[in-house]
Amino acid sequence: MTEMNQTMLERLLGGIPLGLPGIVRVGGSDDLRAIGVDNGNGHTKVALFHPDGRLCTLAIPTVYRAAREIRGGAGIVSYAVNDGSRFWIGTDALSHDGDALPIGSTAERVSDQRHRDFLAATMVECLIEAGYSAGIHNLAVGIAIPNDEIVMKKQGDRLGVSRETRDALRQSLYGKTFSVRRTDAFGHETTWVLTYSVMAPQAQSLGTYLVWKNAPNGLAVDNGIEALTIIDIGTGDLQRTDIDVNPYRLMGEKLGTGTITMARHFARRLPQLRLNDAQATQAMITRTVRAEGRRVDIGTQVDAIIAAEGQDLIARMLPALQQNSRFVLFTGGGVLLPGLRQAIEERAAIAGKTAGQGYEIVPALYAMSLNAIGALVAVVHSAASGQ
Amino acid sequence: MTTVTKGIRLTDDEQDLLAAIMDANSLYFRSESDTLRVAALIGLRVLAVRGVLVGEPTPVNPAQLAAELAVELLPVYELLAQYDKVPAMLQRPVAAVPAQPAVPIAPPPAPVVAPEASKTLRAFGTSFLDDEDDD
Repeated sequence: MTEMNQTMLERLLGGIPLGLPGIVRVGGSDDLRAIGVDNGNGHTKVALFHPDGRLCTLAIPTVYRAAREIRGGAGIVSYAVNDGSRFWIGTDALSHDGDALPIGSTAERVSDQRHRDFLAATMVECLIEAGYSAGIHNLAVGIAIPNDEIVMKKQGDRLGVSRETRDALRQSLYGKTFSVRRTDAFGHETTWVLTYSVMAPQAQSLGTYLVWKNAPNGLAVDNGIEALTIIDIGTGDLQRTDIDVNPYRLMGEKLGTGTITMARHFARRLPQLRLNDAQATQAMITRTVRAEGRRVDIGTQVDAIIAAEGQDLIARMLPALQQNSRFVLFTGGGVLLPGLRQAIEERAAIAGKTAGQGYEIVPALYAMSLNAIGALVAVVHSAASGQ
Repeated sequence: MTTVTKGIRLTDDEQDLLAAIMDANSLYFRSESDTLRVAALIGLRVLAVRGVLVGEPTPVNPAQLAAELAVELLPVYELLAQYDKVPAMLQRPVAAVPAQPAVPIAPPPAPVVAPEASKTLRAFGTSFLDDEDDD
């Protein structure tokens, strides 16, 4: 199979590098490292290329906590941004009673300094994961934003980023430099200077579409599908996006809350654990919790919650499953929940749909990170096309 | 639940070495047990490499392990270089160095993207902020 008739997702699943450059130039700029970010309510996902061209993705729970002093033994990785206070992120913050950062629009989130600091620290972790060293990193950032922040422009008939989102990105992130001091578990400190030199916002579900439909060179692979519905089962939102390619049309609809509803039911059912939203969400994915200092298996309780409360989530997806005019693609962190995945397959079978023919569930390996990968690809393609 | 680190026996010489390390790193280590714990963590990471290299299931992420070891091992390489003990596989061929022209560290690879790729992106509202007009 050649590059032209294999989608990016197919290549990734086959372990084949996309062959795209990790360094781009935009409008006469110096070399910039391309990076894709999906700033989700439950997890923030980041994607970039290793120096050898392999794709590197990272998903970190969107959790922040002011750091406490460790008085002995190995410490916890901590960060300080632009000489601010030290903080922990992700699972480290979660296991020390950290809570999720507030959910909301892009404008609301990036105006919160904790959120900006969290984002910079997350990018540092992904750079480390991909094998890069501390120092100066000038970035070309593709950022996935909620679909409803892409609007029809007043002038002409083209789509673009809403004014509120664009102004917020310009004010809080675009062109800004974040100096991140990272202290590892052994007390060693490194400094990472990140500049968001260029930014390309993109409707988050479009990222999934690009990776699922297009070859690495940016051209669509002809699989005969002209009308697609993407069901993105996120933590905060359940989103339906209809995409047509001839002519180009993107219509988004929020179908209510995402898996957070199940997580909250779960937390209420086990009140003795006092789980906050972020902890409950993580517990549903890992199927374990820490109680009285011990790691406890809660798989049975998670299955029971999904069987009961997951039906509400499925019910909201039903109209998309029952219509026959569009191919349906399920993605998002929700498909990582085995019980929910199984429930979708059962409902699809009842609706007469066959996997691969009428619908597809993005494999768990990439379900959470597809929008971030799409944001990365969009930056590379836009830069290479001289946009 | 409290986890008690197993006790280890040290010879007098090894105790002296421990004391010297603590003296030289007094900013970082607060106690003998603290120092020994950090030493054990570094040692465990080094030992974990063996399992990673032969593909055994291991609870550590190989990329994360490599990133952490890169930091820990830098002084080791420096010492090896001082005493001319750098393994041959890590040494560059000396004769080849002068012949190498200066090249950028990471030149952008040749474009592999179709010119039409950005049309789809623009059609769906994706563009660089610089290119965004003010409505």
